[in-house]
Amino acid sequence: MGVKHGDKKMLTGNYAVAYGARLAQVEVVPAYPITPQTQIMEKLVEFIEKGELKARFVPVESEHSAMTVAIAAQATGARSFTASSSQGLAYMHENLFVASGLRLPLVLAVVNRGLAMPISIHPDQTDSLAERDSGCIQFYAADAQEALDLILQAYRVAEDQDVLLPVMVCLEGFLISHFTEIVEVPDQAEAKDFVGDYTSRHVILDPQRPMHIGILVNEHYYTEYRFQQKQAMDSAKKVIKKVAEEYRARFGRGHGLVESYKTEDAQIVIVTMGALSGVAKLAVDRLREDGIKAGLVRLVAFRPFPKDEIIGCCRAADTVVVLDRNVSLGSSGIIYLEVSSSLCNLSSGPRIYDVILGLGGRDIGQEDIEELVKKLTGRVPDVQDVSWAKVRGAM
Amino acid sequence: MRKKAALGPDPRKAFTYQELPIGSTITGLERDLARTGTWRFYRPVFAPGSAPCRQSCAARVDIAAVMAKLKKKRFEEACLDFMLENPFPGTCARLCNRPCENACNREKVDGPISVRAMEEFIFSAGFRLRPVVYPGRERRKIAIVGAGIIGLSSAYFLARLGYRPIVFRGDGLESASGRDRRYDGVMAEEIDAIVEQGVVIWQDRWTGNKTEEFEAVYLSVSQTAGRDPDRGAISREGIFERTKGAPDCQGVDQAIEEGKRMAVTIDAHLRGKGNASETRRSDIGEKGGISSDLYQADGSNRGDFEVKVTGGVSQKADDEELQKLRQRAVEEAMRCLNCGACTGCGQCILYCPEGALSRSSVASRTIIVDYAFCKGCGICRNECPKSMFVFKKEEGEWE
Repeated sequence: MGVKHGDKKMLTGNYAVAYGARLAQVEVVPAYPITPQTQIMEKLVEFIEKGELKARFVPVESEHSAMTVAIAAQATGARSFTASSSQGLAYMHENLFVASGLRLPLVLAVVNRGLAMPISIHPDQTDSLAERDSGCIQFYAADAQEALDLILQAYRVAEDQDVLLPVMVCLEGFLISHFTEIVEVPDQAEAKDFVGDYTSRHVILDPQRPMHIGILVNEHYYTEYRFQQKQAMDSAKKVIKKVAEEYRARFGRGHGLVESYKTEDAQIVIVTMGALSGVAKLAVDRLREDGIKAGLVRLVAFRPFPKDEIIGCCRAADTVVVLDRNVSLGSSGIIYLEVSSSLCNLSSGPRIYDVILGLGGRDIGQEDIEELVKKLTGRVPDVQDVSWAKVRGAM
Repeated sequence: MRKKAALGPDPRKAFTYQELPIGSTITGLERDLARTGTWRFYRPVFAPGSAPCRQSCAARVDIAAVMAKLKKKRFEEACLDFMLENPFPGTCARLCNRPCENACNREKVDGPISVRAMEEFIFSAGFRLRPVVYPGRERRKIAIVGAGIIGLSSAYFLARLGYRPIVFRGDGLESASGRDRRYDGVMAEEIDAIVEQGVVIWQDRWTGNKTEEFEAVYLSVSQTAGRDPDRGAISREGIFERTKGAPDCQGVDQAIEEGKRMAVTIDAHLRGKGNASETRRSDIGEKGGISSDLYQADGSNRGDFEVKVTGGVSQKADDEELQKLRQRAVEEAMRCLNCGACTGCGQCILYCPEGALSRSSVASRTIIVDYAFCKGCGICRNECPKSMFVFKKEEGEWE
């Protein structure tokens, strides 16, 4: 079976996600249709209205209810999809735990935007990273094409019988969601064949087969149920890799746990996530022209966290620079915490630096990354482990 | 123990994580394991109320039910609902001062429903009820003295109970049909319909010596007119006079109510039942007032009734005038809020978290509560747009 290329369209990240949901043949689409909703829903409703997608759109009064409807619909065995952003995602917070605890394989697209206050409609990954402990799988797209691909992959991963977890597919606001790119849209029949049909075997709302969903277990079984979820997350790593390979074989692209770029011999490894990787790759090339052996690791999956892949890529390096477009205030960037904990037990691990940058859409160019990598590799004694880049008055 | 099974895995066993079901669920539950009815403190009771129009109408016509049927263009059924309580739609359309319209809840919105339009249509449509046959009753001898609205009403309701009463013109009285000459044609037609039910109208004058020929006699003669009917030589059981203080045709509805009450009283007398208990079970509203439909529906005699409309639309069916009347009646019915009646929307069934509500298999606008599962949460009451559920505190000790 050869690679089948689809039609090329000019799409924004939002529309790419909507096409992804259409290709996955989602059946129930609940959404709160006002800010902070995005054009994802606008496009999906258009598809439904035109009859191009046979799904039920359920307009609700809040994101909290949107997630509730998605949970209920998924529990009946329907494939559900919803999308939100920043404050809307925060409003879904408690229901994300319900979805993951009930092991419902729904997919949620998240357009990363700065959490108010103050308001920014530009990217900051803190909104979805604040939900990292919700038990949902998290993917971060680097461009519109990947956003579409990840939606399709997400359903395959989520619905795998060894996983059965909700998936968040995150894309940065404006930088991905609103920029128009060339996106290859797979053929509907091919996509349908790839995603397959969903049949719920574990949770199903059916009056003919009464089932108690959401039980009280207290100290007797809470740990065991959480351990089940941990096991599911562990097996998700294997499943994500398997699905990425299958997707690559079928469509010529595939997105596993991480994307590594020139890390084989890298002494300096840049670790980042999302759209920043684009300029970071250019920076790596320029640094190599200057004789600095740089490489890049981009996290595609943040949950489950690809610890082994990070160790594999960074073991030989003597410096790791984490670029965080997010911040856990009072501590450091969130990716930095994860990378540090992955590498901390290595006998001769690299020195790890964190740079918090690009918050709320602050523009970061290739030369910015080049400059700060050079500064950090200079091993200036007074340099801090965690620093902020491009803050007026701070440097 | 049973409750525990519904809440989660048995805590006394040490299942491993592999043995537990995926997704915090318990399957294979018998519905009986979760008899949540034991949780209940308050009991929802499905209680259709009577609309204010019905409560204010002395004849207790179920106007909301009639309107509901007109809305659906089920004209024959609408007519039946009306005629069960009132044999004089045409007369009421002309003479009644319509307390129902004064009480109408729609007044608060944009003005009351025109009940007159409904009455006029029902009269003009000319439907007829099939006479009631109740073997044995047709031979009972009942005399009604006075052929006004009260006398004719009592004769009509007795006929609806299967009797064949004889109506005498009063002692020197004109019949209502004669007195209200303007409506002569209308009333004559309605009297014809009453006769069709099996009432006999004698043109003979009533004399007291006839008393002994009858098991029951109702002297329905105007008291305010100062005329005293001939009671005959002896006073005995079975002779009924107008209820003390009964109106002398202050309102048509009140006259019909008096006739209806007397029909029930005579029926109770002939069946050897206490009058008070018989009327009370068919009372509607706080002010008293009998529903003949309720009276018939209760007890043993409902099954003996053929309450089907026969004949269909009369010759007037194609009449342009009738078409207009029908359109007007339906327009008014569309405005009716159907107070007190379940609309059958099913909202309560949809929202009941225990699945304890269902539609009655007999009547779709009646909700059955399964008290084994109803935990008394009150959601049905909140969801019901017509407030059909009344909550009553559960009696007895809480375990």
